[in-house]
Amino acid sequence: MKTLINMRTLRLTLVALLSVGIMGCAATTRNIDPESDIHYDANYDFSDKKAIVDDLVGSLLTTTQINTSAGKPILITYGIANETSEHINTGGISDDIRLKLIQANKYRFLNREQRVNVNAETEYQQAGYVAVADQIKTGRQLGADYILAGTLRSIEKQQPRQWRLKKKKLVFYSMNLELTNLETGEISWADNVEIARESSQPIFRW
Amino acid sequence: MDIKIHARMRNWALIVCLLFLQACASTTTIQTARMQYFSGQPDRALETLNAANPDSKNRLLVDFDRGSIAFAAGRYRESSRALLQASSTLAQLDFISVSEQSTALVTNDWATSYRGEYSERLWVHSLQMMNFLLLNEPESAAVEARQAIRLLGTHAKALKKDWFTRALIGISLEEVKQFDSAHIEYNKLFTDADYSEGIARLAWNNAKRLDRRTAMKKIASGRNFKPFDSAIVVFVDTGRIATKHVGSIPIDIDQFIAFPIYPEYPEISKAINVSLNGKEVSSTPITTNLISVARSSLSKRGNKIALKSVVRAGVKNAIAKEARKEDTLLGMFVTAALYISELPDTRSWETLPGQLSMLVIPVKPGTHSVSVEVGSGSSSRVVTLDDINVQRGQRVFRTLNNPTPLTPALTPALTPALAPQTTPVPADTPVSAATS
Repeated sequence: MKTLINMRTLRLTLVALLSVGIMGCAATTRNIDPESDIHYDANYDFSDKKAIVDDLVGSLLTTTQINTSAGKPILITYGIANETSEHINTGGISDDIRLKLIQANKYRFLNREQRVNVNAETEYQQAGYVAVADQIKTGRQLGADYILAGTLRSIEKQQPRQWRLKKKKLVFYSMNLELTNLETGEISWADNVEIARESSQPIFRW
Repeated sequence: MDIKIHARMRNWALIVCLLFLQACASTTTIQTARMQYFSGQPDRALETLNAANPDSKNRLLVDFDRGSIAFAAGRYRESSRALLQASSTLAQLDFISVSEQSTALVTNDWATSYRGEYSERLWVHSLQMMNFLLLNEPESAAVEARQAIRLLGTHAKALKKDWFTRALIGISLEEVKQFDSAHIEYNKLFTDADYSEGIARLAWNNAKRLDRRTAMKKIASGRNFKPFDSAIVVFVDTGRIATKHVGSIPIDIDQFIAFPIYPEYPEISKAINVSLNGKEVSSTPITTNLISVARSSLSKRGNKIALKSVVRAGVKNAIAKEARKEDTLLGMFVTAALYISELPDTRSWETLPGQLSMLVIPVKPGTHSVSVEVGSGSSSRVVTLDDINVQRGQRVFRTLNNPTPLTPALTPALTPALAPQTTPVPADTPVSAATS
């Protein structure tokens, strides 16, 4: 009788363990709100990119340090240097800032990335393949008033090695953006966004 | 009664066999790929590894091998992807698995996921820095440099003598114009490396750029250095890293504890001579003997390994005793199984070179040809890199992968306690001169 109970308990335990295992292994997919603030760990993620872009664009749109009386200032982006210890594609930040500023209709942008293609296309048109009336006219490109560039930096601290159940990590990100006047070389506007986050991971797992 | 004993015996046997089988998870694919690589077929080795579906315990070794073999084959993008995967695997393994450790207590450490030695974790960043510099992506090389600095800070004692990686950190930071950060790294390196000529020249040149006169004077220590703006930097990897062997200490007539060791080898440094446009130039290479760093890294973990082995011996002893109480035959069987399963974890990143060297050759802007002779006498090999175009202020990176035959040039000076693992003797080495 005792053995029977033991066997039953054992079977029930096995079934319970298997069920938990199968549930744990089930793959799931769901859409999430891009506006939501989700972080799986302390590292840089899309929520941080959004926060950085929103803050800096807001600052650029409300600043009075840039003279707009002569029309919309023309900007050229020279990218954002990644000085963190993570492989972060900072092109995503500069692209989003540019997009939002264009949509706000307060600044104009030159397309530096397409310059080689623009030149190639212009040369092709001037080479006689395109009717003269339809050819684009050279010497009419816009000149930039300001360079938009920045730097993303990070400082990371990990909890010292000691007896503990959780491992804590502190990351501080600082994103600096500035507008440099091409005529005077002066930094006409600058601002930065800071993000500090602590995360902890269990040291022991099953 | 008999039936009861047999049922228990069967259960015991089943548990021991299952644990044993789990501990001996197959690493055949990795071994096959390594054999292919060592016999001069890096492309086939990569095919084998790419098709592999390794268990989670050996996932890291596959990423490591893919990274180093692709690098040796001049496939830098592929190498960087594999090593990024290795970094991600390492981050995911940054915890203690209770289930794996419990299994390892009654079998051996092969039952745990391979987490890489501290030195191997550092070499992920070394290879990545080289990959990104050769791919002309200095910002990514600097990211790897910062990660390497963090690791060097955590395991300073074990990794201190990796002069090559530490100089590479300085160069990577210089490439993104972080001269101050490079200065800090060069200063630490320069002091640790005992004022070595090659390192001193790099450190002095960077200090000159920053106009740090006191530092320049200290670094030069009477030597006459000339500042340089443009240079050709050649990475040279030679030989093959040693494999881990089996060490053991008997603690009883039927029990012993086993642990991995790197046998002592005499340090053989390959001579490297450089000619620029046909003229011999003095270029002191900055070299790391990977075997020596690997050994120091393993010995840093020595206490942990020893403690675990002792605990395991206790657990195994208790299990064997319990089994002997049940039945003598069963006791013998369990003791034998536990004895056989006492294998040290000798897994390691075996496709790394034995020595990594860096040559920094100052040049004037223009097109140059560099000849590098590795080794001396009949075993020497000369590789020439032609048409290297250098702009003003530019550093152009090139690599020479295994320019000498891969036949093991190192002979163990000590015989390990148990029979050493046999290592495949590679035929000949692919000679490749790859460019950025």
